[in-house]
Amino acid sequence: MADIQKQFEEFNDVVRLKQYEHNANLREKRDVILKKLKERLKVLFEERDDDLPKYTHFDQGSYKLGTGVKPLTGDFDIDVGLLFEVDRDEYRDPVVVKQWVYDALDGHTKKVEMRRPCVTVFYQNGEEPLYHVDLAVYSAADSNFDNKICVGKGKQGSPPENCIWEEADPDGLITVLTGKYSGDDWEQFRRCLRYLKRWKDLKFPTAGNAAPVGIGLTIAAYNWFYPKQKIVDNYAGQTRTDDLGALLDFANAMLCNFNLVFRDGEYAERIEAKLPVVPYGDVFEKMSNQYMTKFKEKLQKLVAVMEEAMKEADPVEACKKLQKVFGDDFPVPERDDTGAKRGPAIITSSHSA
Amino acid sequence: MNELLLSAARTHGLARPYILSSEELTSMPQQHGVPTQGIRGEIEIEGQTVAISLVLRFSAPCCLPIIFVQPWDKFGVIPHVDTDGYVCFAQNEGLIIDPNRFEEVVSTSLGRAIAQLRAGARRENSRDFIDEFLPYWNRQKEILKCQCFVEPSNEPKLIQVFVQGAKYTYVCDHEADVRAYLSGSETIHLTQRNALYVPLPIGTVIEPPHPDAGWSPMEATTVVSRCFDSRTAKKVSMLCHKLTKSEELVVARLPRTDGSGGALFGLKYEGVGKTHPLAGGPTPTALTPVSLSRCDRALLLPRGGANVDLHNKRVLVAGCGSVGGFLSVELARAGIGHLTLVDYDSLEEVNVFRHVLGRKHLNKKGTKAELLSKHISDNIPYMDVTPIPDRIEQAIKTGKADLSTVDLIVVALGDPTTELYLNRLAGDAPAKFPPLVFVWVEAYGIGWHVQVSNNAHEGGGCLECLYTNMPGDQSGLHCRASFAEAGQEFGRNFSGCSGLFIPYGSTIAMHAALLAIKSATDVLTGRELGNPQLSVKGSSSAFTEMGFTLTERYLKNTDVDLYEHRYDYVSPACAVCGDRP
Repeated sequence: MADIQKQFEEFNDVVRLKQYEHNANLREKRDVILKKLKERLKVLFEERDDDLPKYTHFDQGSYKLGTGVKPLTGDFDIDVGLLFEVDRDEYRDPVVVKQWVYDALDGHTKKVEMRRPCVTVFYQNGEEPLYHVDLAVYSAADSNFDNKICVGKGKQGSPPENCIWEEADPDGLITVLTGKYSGDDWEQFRRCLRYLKRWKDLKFPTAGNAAPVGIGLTIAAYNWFYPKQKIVDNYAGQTRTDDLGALLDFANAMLCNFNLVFRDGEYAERIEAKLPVVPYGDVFEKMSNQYMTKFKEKLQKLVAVMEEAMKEADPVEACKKLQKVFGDDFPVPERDDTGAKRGPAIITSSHSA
Repeated sequence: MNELLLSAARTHGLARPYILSSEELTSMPQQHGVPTQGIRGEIEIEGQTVAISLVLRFSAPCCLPIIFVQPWDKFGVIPHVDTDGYVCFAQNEGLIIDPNRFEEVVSTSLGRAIAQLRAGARRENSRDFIDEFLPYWNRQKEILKCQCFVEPSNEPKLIQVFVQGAKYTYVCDHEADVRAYLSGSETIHLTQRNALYVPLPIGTVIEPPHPDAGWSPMEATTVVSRCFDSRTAKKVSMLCHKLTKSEELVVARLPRTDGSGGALFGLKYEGVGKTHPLAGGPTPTALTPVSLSRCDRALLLPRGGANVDLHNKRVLVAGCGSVGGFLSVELARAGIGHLTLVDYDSLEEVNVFRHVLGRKHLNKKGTKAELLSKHISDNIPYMDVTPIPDRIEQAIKTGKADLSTVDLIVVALGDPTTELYLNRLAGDAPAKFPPLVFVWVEAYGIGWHVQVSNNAHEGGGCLECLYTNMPGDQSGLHCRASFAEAGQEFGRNFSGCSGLFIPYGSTIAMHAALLAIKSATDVLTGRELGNPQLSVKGSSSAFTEMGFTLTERYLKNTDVDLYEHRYDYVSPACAVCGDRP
């Protein structure tokens, strides 16, 4: 069994969205939009001679969890929550509130779109997508009689039954997810999630609901991921972080959680990833049975490749195999690098007599 | 309490018992404990009336009462009665007394004392003199004192006595015995003379002399010579031809009732004629009793808890620092008779708090090895200690340390590089090397370790195994047994490069030394047939307070776990003891 933890960690360094380096840039872009939003909303409401309801913003999604991966296309994604102090009784149709955001930002870039869960502002360089900002609109808890936070779902032209305020707990979700592990275990959790997300980006079409959503993989990891160390020297009590083993166990655990269910008029094997907070819904719900089957097949393939890599004694061969599932960003070491490493010839000692 | 005492007196038939006044108590012998209250009464034993006093000491009811008989020699000299009338009716050591049943304690004591006196008066317990002869012998007035190294053999023989004026200093079979006892630390400049040793046959009963009167020369000669069988008498007579001084010493051995050991006592005759009194010569003019304090190794070693079997073993200690210092002294006390101590370093002020040699050795000339050798020779008898003021590698290379005569090497250098070098030397020529016991402590006393190498009769294992990385481990030279995580610097510096030291306390050094001694003696006596690696955890608080990191080995294991896995460190990939192609 080759020791390729170093390659996994290098892979992680390449694919991860670095919160302090990369995101400083993205945060700047986010702030530009928020500034624009503030200015334009003020103008819009002044024109209508109306009072602008107060609102605040917060970070959400993988951006907040630090589980993001660099997009293959370069189309980075920024998730922002806008918490409006609006009473759901007063603004029964969330599209009205979403429309404020849309109107304020429309024309800011070439493409601004109201989608069911959010308003998205696309940044492009010519036809090349650069990044996009998803702005989800919430009704604040304090503004409602039931003290519930709700996210506005629906878009222009949707039938009224699809335009709803849906209860949500964005803070609670982050708290629950980040509370599962800490320290090195949390880091391994995040690394393995990133490997899986990169695999997803590579192996699934981007369009529609063909790919499992990132939050779904995160919830799956919350449910079924366990940190793993392998014993290097039992006598010395020495262990080594084992990302390959942890990810393999996690992928296997996901496969075990595919269950035969009856849906859309047929029996299909499906996996659920239910939110651990309100509204507790299955975030894989939108995947069709067909896409689910593909998901399972791809996972099986991933497991098979990882098992082969694990059996491989030669780290070069092991990494070559993994490159097939994780892409070219997964490093394959040079032959010269793979010989038994030796520590320095002079070290400090704790011994005395 | 007085009622309790009177009741005991009545129970045992003491006539006219009365409570002792404070004046009477003050006038009683005080050396057995100061009497605080007591009673006295009379009792008739074998037709003789004696006074019995039972007194309590300050620490009553947590100690036995004391019982005196007056006059002490009413029945002659009898066992278990001292000249001050003290009656010994129980051993003073190894007793537990129930203070809540003190009435019973007092009554039982009195009953036993009276029974002891009665047995003495009837001469029923005269044999007790045999096993307890020396205390009776040694209480004589004007007695001479002398250290005795004579082996208590079963044949008469000539022995040597060292005379200093009118005093005897040593009596021995050979001068070498005295020199060995002194471990070469003192020089003997005394006049040496022949003397006679005579063993008395098993079963001999001798009534000790009256402490005031003693034996006359005639009595002594009679008492001793009447016990001779014809063979012994003949042999003694022959030996006496060589004893022609006017002053002659006779050392007699009174064997115990079971034939073992026995009491040695001396008779100094003065005014001896041409023929020795024991060879039928005229009665000498004077006799002085001699009290002999046995110092022979057959008695001293087991009496001090040392192992006699280890006494002919030869151990080389490499490194005479804090661990090596304690270790060498304790190896000697454990009974190892031959030590070679190797160290080139000298003792300095900064060493004194954790070195067995204290401040008084600071200004003395010599290396730690030399000073330690002297310290051991001065304090522990029968030691053959050789210092080698050199580095161990150099001592081996130049042949100053002759490993062919060494049974075991203890390495307490605290220097893994040299330790690994020694381990490799042993690995290259296992038959030429004795077993090695490596011992070291870790920074801030987080633990101490011992590694036995070159001892395995089956299974391998050596120090190198601890520095052999398992597959996937790239920590290099780090010791697998360590409790301190690799890559940290522990050396503290008070005075530039030369003042670098690793902090740990004296007790940690002692712990390490004790662990090494146990391993060394187990190897030497064949109780340990493998190459164990022993680690013991110390406190980690000072270590972690300094911000240092412990290994998983420390964090995850108890001392019991560590002990159970003491052979599990062996590495097949070890370059010294592993599977060779």
